[in-house]
Amino acid sequence: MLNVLLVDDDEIDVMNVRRAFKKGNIDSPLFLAGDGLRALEVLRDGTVPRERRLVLLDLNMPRMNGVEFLHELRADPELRTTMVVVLTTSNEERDKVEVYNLNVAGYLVKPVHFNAFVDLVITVTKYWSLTELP
Amino acid sequence: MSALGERAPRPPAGAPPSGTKIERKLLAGVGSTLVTLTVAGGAFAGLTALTEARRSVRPSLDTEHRQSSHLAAEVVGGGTLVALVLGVLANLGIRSAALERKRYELLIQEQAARLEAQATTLREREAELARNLEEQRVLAERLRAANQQLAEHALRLASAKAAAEQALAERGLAGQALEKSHKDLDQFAYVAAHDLRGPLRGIVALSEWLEEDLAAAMTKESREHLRLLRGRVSRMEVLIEGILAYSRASRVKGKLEPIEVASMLREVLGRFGPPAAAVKVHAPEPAPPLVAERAPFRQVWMNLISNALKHGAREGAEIWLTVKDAGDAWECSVRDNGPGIAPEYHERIFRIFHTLASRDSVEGAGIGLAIVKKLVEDRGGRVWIDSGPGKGAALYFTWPKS
Repeated sequence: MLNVLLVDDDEIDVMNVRRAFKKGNIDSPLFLAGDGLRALEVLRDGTVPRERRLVLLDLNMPRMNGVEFLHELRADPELRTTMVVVLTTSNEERDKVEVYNLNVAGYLVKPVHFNAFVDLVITVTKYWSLTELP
Repeated sequence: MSALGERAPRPPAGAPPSGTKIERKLLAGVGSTLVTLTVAGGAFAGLTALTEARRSVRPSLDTEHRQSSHLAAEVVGGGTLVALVLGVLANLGIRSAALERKRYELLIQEQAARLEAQATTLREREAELARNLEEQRVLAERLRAANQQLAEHALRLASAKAAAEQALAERGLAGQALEKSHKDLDQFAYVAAHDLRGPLRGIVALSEWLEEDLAAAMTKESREHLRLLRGRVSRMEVLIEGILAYSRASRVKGKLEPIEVASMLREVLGRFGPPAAAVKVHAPEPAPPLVAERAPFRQVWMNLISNALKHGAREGAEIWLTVKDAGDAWECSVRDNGPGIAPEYHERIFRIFHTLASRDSVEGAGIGLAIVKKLVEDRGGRVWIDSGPGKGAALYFTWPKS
């Protein structure tokens, strides 16, 4: 069981993750935030339960993008240990280096085809379900 | 010139005094002697007259007169003697003066002749000098003209140099601008391709969900439409990947390093797996060792071999790889024994997204050869094809050595 927060502004991508959860029989609750600011809010006010949190983070978003969100997150003493996996369309080296410097737990490029996407989401959530978290 | 001409020739120092001066001195001597004689004569005559008068007035004074007369006679005699002596002396003086004069005259003539000779020499020298001066003047004139021409040349050169420098600077700026615009274009291509992928992914996802959710309700026709839709989507994906690969090609940079061509080609061929294994490959033997940027050089071979495998013969396919030294570049080729390409299409195959086969029959976006062209030409090389229908195709490229 994980409390998954999906931070993504693309409606279809959100649906994609939802369908993948359903298809993969993932029973972890899925929380949503359309951008970094909203994500910080739901993490701080407890909308997302504080234990066993996993953030799936897109990078290109309005208001506060993924990188800015990570800066805020790592500067917050209460949130700094939050597990974050980047899930993005960007395959740019620069982005990878930047986010790994902000201690992300993984960097995944969204596959074009749905089946591949489902496999990816299932694998990630399974892995983190098995991982001991503080 | 004139200063020299005006300078009067001077007699040499120690020359005898001029003739007229000597004559004047002599005459003065003779003159003074004659004056003395005249005065003495006059005095004698006066004395005689006085004595006569006294005699007539005072006969008593006869004795005195006689005495006086005697005295006078004596005086006259003495005077005459003196005059005579003086005359002789004068005569002698005159004669010696004449001799002297003659000598002087000779001397003078000699001197004059010498002076004349000197003057002639001087005149000649002067004339020569004048000639020299004239020559010098002409030369100076010529020199001045040459100098002026030189100055004009220098001026023209300087302005030409300035123009050249400006042109160079402008070309540099143009080059920079061109480079920047190339970079901008590559950046644009990258961003555009990248951003096109987002909506495309949405289309793919939605069509797949539709198919999944409506599987039971869909007609055979609808399923065919969805299949075509996905076909177009995947082609678009290939195109986008092509643009990304093409824009990436301009960023492919490598350090110059020694490359063992044979082993590099073996490694490249290994990448293709089974399709390459079925093809008989003739690698260049012995492959020359060369120095090149490894990544782009390898990429060019990779794309050409891939092209040859794709378009080569279906059966009994063979590929010949060659590398030869062409002076300042390496000339390489990849030849297949496939169907070949008609000359009218030769130029087209290197264009981006151009493929001569139908898109469904041969996989690929038609980007491979465009990338080859870009990689080679970016480094000052050249690509071309030698082919004809039924004759196979040989794709050549040159890779400059430096």
